[in-house]
Amino acid sequence: MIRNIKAITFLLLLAVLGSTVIGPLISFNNISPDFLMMVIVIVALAEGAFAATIVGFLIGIVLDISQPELMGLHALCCSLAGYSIGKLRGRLILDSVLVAGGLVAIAVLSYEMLYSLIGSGVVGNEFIRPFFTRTIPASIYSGLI
Amino acid sequence: MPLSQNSKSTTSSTLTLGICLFISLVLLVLPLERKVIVADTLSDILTKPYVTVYNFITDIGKVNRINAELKAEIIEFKMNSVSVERVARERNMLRESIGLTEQGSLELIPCEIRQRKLTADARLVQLRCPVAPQWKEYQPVVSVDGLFGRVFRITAPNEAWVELLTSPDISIGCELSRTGLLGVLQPIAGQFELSLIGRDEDVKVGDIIVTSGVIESNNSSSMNSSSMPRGIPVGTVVEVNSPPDRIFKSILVEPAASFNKLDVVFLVSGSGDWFLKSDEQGMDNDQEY
Repeated sequence: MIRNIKAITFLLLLAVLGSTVIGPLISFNNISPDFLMMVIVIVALAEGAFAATIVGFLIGIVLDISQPELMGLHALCCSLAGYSIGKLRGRLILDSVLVAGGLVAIAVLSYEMLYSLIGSGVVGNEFIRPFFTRTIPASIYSGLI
Repeated sequence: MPLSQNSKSTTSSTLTLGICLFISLVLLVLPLERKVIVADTLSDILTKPYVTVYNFITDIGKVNRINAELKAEIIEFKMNSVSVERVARERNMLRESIGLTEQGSLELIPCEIRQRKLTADARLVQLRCPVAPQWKEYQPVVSVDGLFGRVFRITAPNEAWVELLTSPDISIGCELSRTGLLGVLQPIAGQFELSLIGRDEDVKVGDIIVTSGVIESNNSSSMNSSSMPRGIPVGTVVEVNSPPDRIFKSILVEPAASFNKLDVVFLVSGSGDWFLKSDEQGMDNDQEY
């Protein structure tokens, strides 16, 4: 259990490093891969729904700090994403890279869609244009990475 | 995996999801002010340790750099001190050869500022020295930057009132370190003016003003000045005008010392001249003789 916690902590640190340092370096048109969602997917497939829900919630809370007006929304979406992917553990054949990449892409897409939908309802943000100009490219990019 | 373990795991993950969703929804529906408070608190808890460590690491780098700079400055000061001692020795030899008295060396005695007194006639601070020095009336007091004031009244073996340079009735004999022109520095209307310098003399903005070692008296009936060691930094020329209706220049001076910071100052004891670094004097050392 302690080894798992250490591994998850290490992954989280890598994800933060990726988001803050590597992401901006490899971004194009302000679109960068979602390293945090990748970590949630990895934890979900390795440890299951329980660990992924908690990791997703914690990652979401950290993301929410930077946007107080939508406080709780990242936590909600990331917890749901972690739980959903965790439930798929043991039901997918992950030998193929395409499957893993596709899973990441779908996870990012679902998370961003849910976030944008609820966010547009709460604070009136635009939904349609960012969905096509940002959400879809970001999910494909994350899946490729 | 046995069925009971499966259902336990499903229950625990569902319960966890429920708790996380509940907390997220509670945060989402909070008023904005409360959200900001929560965000600030979480930010402090989550990021403070990393920020503290990062600041500590950068501070170490800064301290190392400052340490290296200070060491270099100390070496430079030591070398300048050796040079100054040699110049003082040579000057004393010359003075002795032409029958003048030998000049001693100056000593700086650190003093603490205890209180301030601001009246219409004077700006005074009370100094306290850890050891009882040889007080003399009108003895100069300097800060790390330059002339701060002069001894006004001795009240105890190790305490005295010092008149600041900003006192209305003060006048200090000064000279321009670059050209040696003599003048009198006085505070006038919140500024410092160097007077008695001819309209046609060479004075530039940026010239450094030092004490001349010459006694100057102002218009008051009593002599309220005395000879200060020559060369103590007083200020820098910031404005020079030559009014057509006056025979002297109008020279405004920015004082070197700060009079608002209450810090350690130094009583100048002994006789002799205050030597500036050779590149600040604006003329060769040979020209002193």
